[in-house]
Parts: sequence; C-alpha cells; structure tokens
Amino acid sequence: MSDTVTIASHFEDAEQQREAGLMGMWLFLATELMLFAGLFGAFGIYRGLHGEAFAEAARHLDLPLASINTAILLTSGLTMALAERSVQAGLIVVARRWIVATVALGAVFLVIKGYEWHHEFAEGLMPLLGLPFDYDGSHPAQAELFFDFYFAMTGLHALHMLVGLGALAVLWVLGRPQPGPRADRYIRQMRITGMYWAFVDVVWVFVFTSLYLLRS
Amino acid sequence: MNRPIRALLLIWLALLVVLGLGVGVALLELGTWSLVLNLALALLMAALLVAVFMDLLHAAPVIRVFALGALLWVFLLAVMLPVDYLTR
Amino acid sequence: MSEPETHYLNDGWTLRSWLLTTDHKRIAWMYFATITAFFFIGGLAALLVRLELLTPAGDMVDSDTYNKLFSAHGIVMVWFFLVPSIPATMGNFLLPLMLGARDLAFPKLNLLSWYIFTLGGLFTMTAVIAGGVDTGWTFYTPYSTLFSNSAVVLAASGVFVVGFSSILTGLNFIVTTHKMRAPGLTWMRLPLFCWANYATSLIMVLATPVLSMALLLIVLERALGIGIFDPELGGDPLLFQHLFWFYSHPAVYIMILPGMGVVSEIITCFARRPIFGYTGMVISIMAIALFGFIVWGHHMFVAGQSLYAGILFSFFTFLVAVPSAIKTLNWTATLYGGRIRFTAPMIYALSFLGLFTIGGLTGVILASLAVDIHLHDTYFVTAHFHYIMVGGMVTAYLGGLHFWWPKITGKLYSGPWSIVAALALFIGFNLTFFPQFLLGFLGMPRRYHAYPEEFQLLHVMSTLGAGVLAVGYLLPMVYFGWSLWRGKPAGDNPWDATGLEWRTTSPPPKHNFVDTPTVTGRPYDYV
Repeated sequence: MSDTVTIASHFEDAEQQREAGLMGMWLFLATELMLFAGLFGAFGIYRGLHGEAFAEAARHLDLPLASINTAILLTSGLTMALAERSVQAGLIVVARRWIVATVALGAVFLVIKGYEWHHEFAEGLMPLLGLPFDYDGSHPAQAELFFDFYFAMTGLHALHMLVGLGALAVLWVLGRPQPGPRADRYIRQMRITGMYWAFVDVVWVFVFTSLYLLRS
Repeated sequence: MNRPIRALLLIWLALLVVLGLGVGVALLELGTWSLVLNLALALLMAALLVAVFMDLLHAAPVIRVFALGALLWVFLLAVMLPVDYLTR
Repeated sequence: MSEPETHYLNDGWTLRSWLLTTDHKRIAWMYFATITAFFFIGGLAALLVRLELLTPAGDMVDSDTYNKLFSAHGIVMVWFFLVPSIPATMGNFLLPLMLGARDLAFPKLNLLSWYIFTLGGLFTMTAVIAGGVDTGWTFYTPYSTLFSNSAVVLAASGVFVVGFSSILTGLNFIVTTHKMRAPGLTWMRLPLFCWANYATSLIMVLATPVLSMALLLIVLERALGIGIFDPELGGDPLLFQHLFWFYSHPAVYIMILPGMGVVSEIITCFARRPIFGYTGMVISIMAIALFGFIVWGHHMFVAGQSLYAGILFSFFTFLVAVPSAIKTLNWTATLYGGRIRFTAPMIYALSFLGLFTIGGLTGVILASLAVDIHLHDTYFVTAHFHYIMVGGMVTAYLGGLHFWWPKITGKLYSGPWSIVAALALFIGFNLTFFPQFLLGFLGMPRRYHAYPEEFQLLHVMSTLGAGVLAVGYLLPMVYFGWSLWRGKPAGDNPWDATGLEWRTTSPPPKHNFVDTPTVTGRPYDYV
C-alpha cells in the first residue's frame, strides 16, 4: 500500500505517519478534556456549595427541549461514525451523504440551542453584559452564578460545535472521487474529524447532565 | 477498524435508552440518589461514545494508556480540588 | 576541521526562508531570538525594581508604578521566558537530533506554535507596558476582576493564547518521542534530556488547559460582566487560585525538568563517566512530573484554605523532595571518580547543582505549615524561587547553550571569556539572592517599594549583585556574537561527547543525518 501513499519527507513510512497523526489527535483531545475538566471542576465546587440554589435554578431550564436536542446530537454521532465507515470502505459518495446528514443534525442542534438562549433572554434569565436578571426563585444571587455557568458551558460547547461543523464542511468539499494517495489522506482526515465530533458529544453529555439533570 | 453497522446502530440505541433513563431519574427527584445515578449514567454514555464512536476499542495499546492517563488526571483534579472545600 | 559545505543555516538566505520554514532547527533559532528579547525586557524591569530598592524611601518610582514593574517582570519572565526557554529552543533543536529523526512529527504545527507564542507575547507585552498591570504575574481574583483596569483582560488573554503554543509544542514532542526514534533507540537508551523534555511535554499537555480555563473565566467575568469568582453571588475567589496553581505549580516543573535534562548531559560529558543510576533518574523525572500535580495547595497555606487541605498538600510537598534529592545525589555520584574538565558548560552545570540544592532545601522549609506562616510573602520566598528559576533554570539554560553552541552554529567561542561569564553568573546570583533569604527571615515582605532602614545593607548587596549578574548575562551575547563572525570551526564533536546529535556535522544538514543512525547501546558511553 505504501507505494500509493504520499509520505511527508520526515516520516519513514505510511504506518508511522498514520499513527503519529492519530496519536497527536488523541493528545489534543486529552488537552481539551482537561480544559473542560477545569470548567466542570469549578462548577462542581459551586454545585457542592450551593446545592439547593443550583437545583432550583436548574428547574428553570427547558428540560424536554434539551433532551430532544441531546438525542439529536447523539444521532449525529451515529451518522458521523457511518460516514467514517463508508470512507474506509471506499464509498466516498455515500460518505459525503452521511457528512451532509451530520452537518444538518449539528445545525439543528445549534438552532434549538439558540432558541433556548433566546427564550432565557426573553425571560430575563441572561445575566450577561449588564442585562437585568429577573429570577423568581428563593436564591437569586446564587442562581445568577448558575446562569453564568450555564452560558459559559453551553457557549463554549457551541463554539466547539462550530469548529466541528467547519471541519465537516471542508471534508465535504474535499471528498470528490480521488486517486489513491489522496484517498489515504482523506481517510485519516475523516478519522480525526470523527474523533473530534464524538468528543464534542461526550462534552455535551456532561454539560447536559450538570446543568439540566441535577435538579434535586 | 471496520465497525459493523449493526454494532453502531445498537450503540446508538443504547445511548438513547441511557439518555431516557437519565431524564427519568432526574424527573423522579431522588435527591442525592439522583445525583449519583445521573453522574453514573453520564459516565456510561461517555464510555460508550469513547469506546465505539471514537473507536478506542481498536486503538493501539499506547493510545489506551494515554486515555487512561487523561482519565487519571481528571480524577486528580476531581479528588484534590474538593479537599479544601469539604474540610473548611 | 572544516565546516560542511551545505547545512541548515546556509540553505536559503531570504526572510521568507526563515519565516515560513518548517525546519525544527530554524524554528529553534526563531525562539532563541524571541525569548532573548523578552528576557532582556523582563530583566530591565527587574533592574528598575532593584534600583528602587537601593534606598529605604520609595523615591524613584511611586508605589503604583512599582507594582506595575514587578508585575511586568514576573509576567514576562515566567510566561514568555521560563516556560518556553529550554524546550522551545534547545528541545526543538536537539530532540529530533538526539532521537535520530529528520524533524519533529508535525513540522508545520511547530511553526504555528512559534507564531502563536510570538503574537501572544507581543500582545501581552503591549498590554503590560502601555496599559499597566498591577496584579502580579498570578492574576489573582479579586484583584484581577473587581479592582483592576482593563489591561488585565488583555494581558490574561495574551497568556491564554500563548498557552496553546506550549500545548502544541508538548504534543509535538510526545508524538515525536514515541514515533520517530532511530532504530535501536529503545526507551531505556534515551538520553535523559529526551526524558526530561518528554515529562515536561506531558505536563504542558495536561496542565496548561486548566490554566487556560481559569484565565478564560477571568476574561469572561470581565468582558461579559458576569460573576464567576464574585463573592456577592456566592462565588469563591480562592477557587481561581486552586485552578491557577493546578497549572502553575506543575509549571515550576515545566521550568526545571528540562534544566535537569541539560545538566545530566553536561555532567556526564565533562566528568567522562556514564550517569550514576540511569533508571533511578528516569523514574525520578517521571515521579516529579506526577507529584508536581498534587502539591499546588502549598501556595495557599495562608490564603484561607482549610487546615486539613494544608496538611495534605504539605505532606505531598515533602514527598516531591525525594525524587529531587535522588537526582542531586546521582549527579554528585556521577562526578565521583570522574576526570573533570572545568569548561564553561561544566561550571554552569556545577553551579546548577549547588544552587538547585539550596533552592530545593529552602522549599522543604517553606513546605512546613507552621514555618510558612512566618515566611510567606517575604523575601525568603522570593529568594527560594529565584534559586530554582534563575539559579536552576537560567543557569542550566546558559550551560546548555554553551554546550551545544558548537553544534548549533558550527563555531567555537572564547574559552576564557566564557569561564568568566559563568563565574560572574554564580557570584552575581548569590550576591543578589542570598541576602534576600536573610531579609525574608528578618521579616521584609515582598512587593513593597519602601522599607525600614535596618534592611538597607542587605538590599544594597542585592542590587550590587544584580549588576554583576547583568554582566554574566551580557558577556555571552558578546562572545557568542563574535564567534559567529570569527569563531574557529568546531568540527563534529568538539567535546568528544556521546549522543546522536554529535554524530552529524556541525551545523547539521537540513535533514539532520545523511544516513539514519542506529543505536546499539545505552547512553553516556564514556570510559
């Protein structure tokens, strides 16, 4: 296989190049994991200190909508895995369809998320940029802290989604029928994007659990 | 590398079931039990995603060591950070 | 001996051939240039601080300016010199050579790291100098959130950005060490410099993101007007310190571990002996990297942390002394019975050994809870960490530079002058910082620009020492510069050292080796 693959001049062979790329991505995701660990650590400390207030604030969020949204994101994880599988089987045309499906699901997720944000803005639950915070519960100060974290966490996650969608768009454009060496590279790019996409799902699972589900 | 479609679909279904369970547990409002169960279910979903959708199952041994290491470091933060707050 | 006809330095002379290079050796040079500039800017701030402290009255600058000066010194030195120093320059240059590789695993990423570093650095520098930041290098809340000007947000954003440069460098080094080793170069045959950079990289990848998040939360708090660390909402300013030191204590090991790697290379070469207890050294390096993560609370003993957390962190801090002591012992044992040559690199390495030991032992004193109540925030602490950061890291940095200069440039520098510079550093350093142990013990607090008259003698000694130290820093610039024009060709291996980097020409060819070398035995094969 190695005679049909483009190898950068500093690598010995295709195997070394492929494994180096994968390892780099795993390490990058370890870094991302620690980034979010810092955020969740801070949230966890406050959840411990102000349990009752945070649980009450959590009940002000739209759980049904967020649950549907979580299901949509998990489904996009499936379509992404299917896209990867198709590329590995050499079915580029099929893979591009799965990419379109993944992008569509990701976009729907972001639209629903945006609708939720707008809803909270309208209800006066968006304590950013000096906007009024109009909260009817019994711990307004700590609830404000909760909503600060809500926007920081969901915002940071949405930012990661946008990066992922951008990468998918590039993959879609690149994914025209190609000669051998480029196809190998395409498989690697697909694999790396797929890992990133699944990681963004993992992050969302914890965002969802921390913010929406811990309500008692 | 080539994960069969059936396995992927099954994992997807499992994820949705665990999601439903998590929402159910949260709605029952069992206090501390909800907290523990919800965190456990979240970990389960994350494990499924990492093992199958990120394909850690078929990754090289050194990658699995890295994944364990990253987990250990999250654990360090998660254990050492609350020490101060729990004993103040 | 003559130079090779073509090498990485004469392969293209245009600005473009430098700014768009993916050659790790040229990128190392770009880092050398950038961090040297940052070093002298940070040094200038330190000089002004020392001049102010010549007299007891706060007469040269007012207290606000003084706050900005020591903040500028700390921010520039820690974030833009010490953290990248050895890994980004010598690590970048030597790691592929020592591994027998043609380049790092991701050459373009390496170039990107330099751009991120330089742009972030310039950005922060502008904020620090033009806007003025008075929080100290640590950006503690609530100073940085409730009581500061907007330059703090810009400075913290710059540090946030620079963090990604060290993450990407660390990632690159780890993958390179795993995947690019020459045939026969097993893990237990790696030079300790490689191990040290590997451990450093692990810390960079695992710790830096937590700092990034802490800084991001400050920036969000300020930019969006939210209250993550605001006590009025139930937030906790100490939480910032926890997250900050989760990175910044391991960062101390980011700064010292590569220095330990350099010293291991130098001592073995100039004692002509293999390193004593190679396996123990490897285990200590990795143990320091791991333990470094569970001691951060010793920066917060008197900050309001719980007593029990204090006890736990104090205990772990004592534990870190064990691997550090093993390393010191092994270096000393390596010297025993060796045929020692007192060249400039060796003098730097021996200085490191002494100064690091003093810095480490005073660290044990500070780790004791009760003693720390007396010594915290005094000059004792300042002296302690300067013994590690300057006495340890900067000394090792200069030692490494002197050791590998002939390899990097293909030229020899002046032997006698370099010995003068190494001695000036040792004498100037001790004169500057030893009096500060006494000052701190007598109760002189850090970060004050005026002080009672009885402290003046010690402060004058310290300022004089800083003058000598400056000579020790400037002199190498002169003879290194001179050697580039007039230096004799160095030949492939002027020190008669082992290690793959000495098996290629000086300066090395663009792709490092004409034929990929193979390794057949353990490192430090000196007899």
